[in-house]
Amino acid sequence: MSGPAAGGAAGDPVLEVDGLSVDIRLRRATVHAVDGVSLVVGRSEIVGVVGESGCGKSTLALALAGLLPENAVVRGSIRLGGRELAGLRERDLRTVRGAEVGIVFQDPMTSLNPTKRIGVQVGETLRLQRGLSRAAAASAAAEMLDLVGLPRPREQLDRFPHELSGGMRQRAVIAAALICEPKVLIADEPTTALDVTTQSQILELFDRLRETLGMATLLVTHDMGVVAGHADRVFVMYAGREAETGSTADVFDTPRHRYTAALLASILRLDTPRKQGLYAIPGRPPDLTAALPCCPFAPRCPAATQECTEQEPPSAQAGGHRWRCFHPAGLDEPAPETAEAPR
Amino acid sequence: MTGDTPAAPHGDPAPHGDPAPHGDPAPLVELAGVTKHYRPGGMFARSAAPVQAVSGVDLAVRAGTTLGIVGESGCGKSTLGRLLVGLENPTEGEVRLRGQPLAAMRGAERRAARYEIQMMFQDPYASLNPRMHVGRIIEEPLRARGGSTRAQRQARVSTLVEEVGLSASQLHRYPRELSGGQRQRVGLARALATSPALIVADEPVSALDVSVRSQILNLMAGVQAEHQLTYFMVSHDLTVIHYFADHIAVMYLGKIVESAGPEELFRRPAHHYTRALIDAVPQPVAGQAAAREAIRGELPSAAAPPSGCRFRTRCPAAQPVCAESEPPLRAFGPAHRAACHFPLAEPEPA
Repeated sequence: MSGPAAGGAAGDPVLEVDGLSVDIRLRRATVHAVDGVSLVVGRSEIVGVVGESGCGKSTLALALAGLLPENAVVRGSIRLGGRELAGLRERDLRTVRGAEVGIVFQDPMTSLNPTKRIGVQVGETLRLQRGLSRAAAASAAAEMLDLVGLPRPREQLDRFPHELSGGMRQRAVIAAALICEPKVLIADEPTTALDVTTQSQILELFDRLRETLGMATLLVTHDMGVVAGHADRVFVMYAGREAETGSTADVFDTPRHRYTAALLASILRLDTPRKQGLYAIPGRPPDLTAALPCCPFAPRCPAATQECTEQEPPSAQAGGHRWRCFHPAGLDEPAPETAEAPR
Repeated sequence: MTGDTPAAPHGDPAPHGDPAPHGDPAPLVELAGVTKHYRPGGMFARSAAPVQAVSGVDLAVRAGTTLGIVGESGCGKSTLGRLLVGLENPTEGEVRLRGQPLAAMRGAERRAARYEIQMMFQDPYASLNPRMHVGRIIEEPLRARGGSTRAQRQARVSTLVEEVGLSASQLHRYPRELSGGQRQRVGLARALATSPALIVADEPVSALDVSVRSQILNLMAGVQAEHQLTYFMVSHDLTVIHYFADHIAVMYLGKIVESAGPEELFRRPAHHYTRALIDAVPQPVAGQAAAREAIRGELPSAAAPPSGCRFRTRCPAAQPVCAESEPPLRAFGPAHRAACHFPLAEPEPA
């Protein structure tokens, strides 16, 4: 397997994940939600994590945010600014959360406490982490609300979440996530619940903030369009594993893993011929409690052969573009061995 | 309550909608001057202004076609769907099925009309009774309608299950045991049970993964062709509406601001709001963010909509006149209407 530096990270790695596995223990079974994932996110970089529901991308986000449930077993390494997070006690993790890792989830209503005023919630981490006074925290909160584009930030401090629209609430959540100027922002489907117009405003905001604050962003989404326009690099996940990773241009222009190719083929575009029938990946993502074939995508893959189920697919690489597939798309068979493919 | 409201309050040549070819019968469903106001509840209800969810909407849907409604959340598009299936009654105006106002129907006629218009929801998990197994859920509208034996209903359920691509073994499963795609198949089977003429599909694929979305859209298209079904499809996703709808109406703050066929609307939008919606669609092309800068601001309150053109507070081309007078609906092509003082396309001479 390639080292964590593969995937063409930016020069200054902030978040380094190496061989991360997460098992969720249930009463009768164990879900292998994340299986040997390695990735790097650099300063000012946005890395998109994509895949269908149930591919493990949200568990990965929770693991990086230190928010896994108690029945989760984590192996591997998560390094933030050179410091190992895996194995930290809850008390120490709490310091990291908020201060060094900011978190934004899909539904802003579940991230905000409905009974507390916006100003209190946005400034909360500053008070807890840095011991700021109420007034100083409020003032910093207003500044942050202004930065994320909430109109009349001073007035918003005294409002309750239900008094804001969905887009405004998500801006408030982002402000709360960023108030301590974290090194890393974990955003799990941050725009999925929003209208397209609000979505593009929020995505523009991410673009702007990584420039001004230099934070590393992990953008978890099922929307390939969102990733295409805003991520520097893409990490395609299937059955808890890496299927393919590389620059956004590499992955979208020359997808190698058959899963990536199938995902891209099933996207609706404004130039998709109308009413001609749509390509759909057959079958469903696998049950992650069960034993999987060597290539977990093989049962749904149009190019699968016997070796896909019996042998580990080789990891091939071209520059920062990496994939694990016996029959990569767009390359003449036989597939290249683990050697560097020509660029 | 309704029934005496004149149609087409705009005095417009034709309502929004796919114009029927010459000699075609009346549209399957029509909304004529439909307005829905909600009185806010609570302590200050008397003094507060009503929320104008839908204001004077004229629409027509031809049998066997799909009318797509797009707009941001809060624009009133879901309320339109609820008015069609009779979950809400219009404050003004009327909903007609084959030319007959729903509100004027009585007894058996009213009941029959109700089963001719069915609904599919965004989140089938929230709309399927968790205590009923799949077979019972699909059977439910047939039981409610009455006039059938148990054996007849079960035969119908078997046909429906097969038609939507579920297996007979799934009949005894509960919604929680199904995937999102399977649940949406159950939602479609239930909607089809009474052989309706119209299905109101409110964000039918928004909660689904891309691949499952394709499966459901293919299924909906197949069922439509098979039964000459008419869809009233509500979505905030322009790619879905562009792909599926035969005619598209763009809604903003309770009003239809533009309507046209899909090719025409996307190639030659006349309204600045339509343009902004199209520009905001994320394209799955590397490095290509939204085509232009996103429109600013938020949807204003429907309790106090802006004067004149309702979009003017967010419009890049707004002029003083936009605050003073409501732009009239003008024709921009055979089936293309838009209401804008400074349109992006050349209107047809009046």
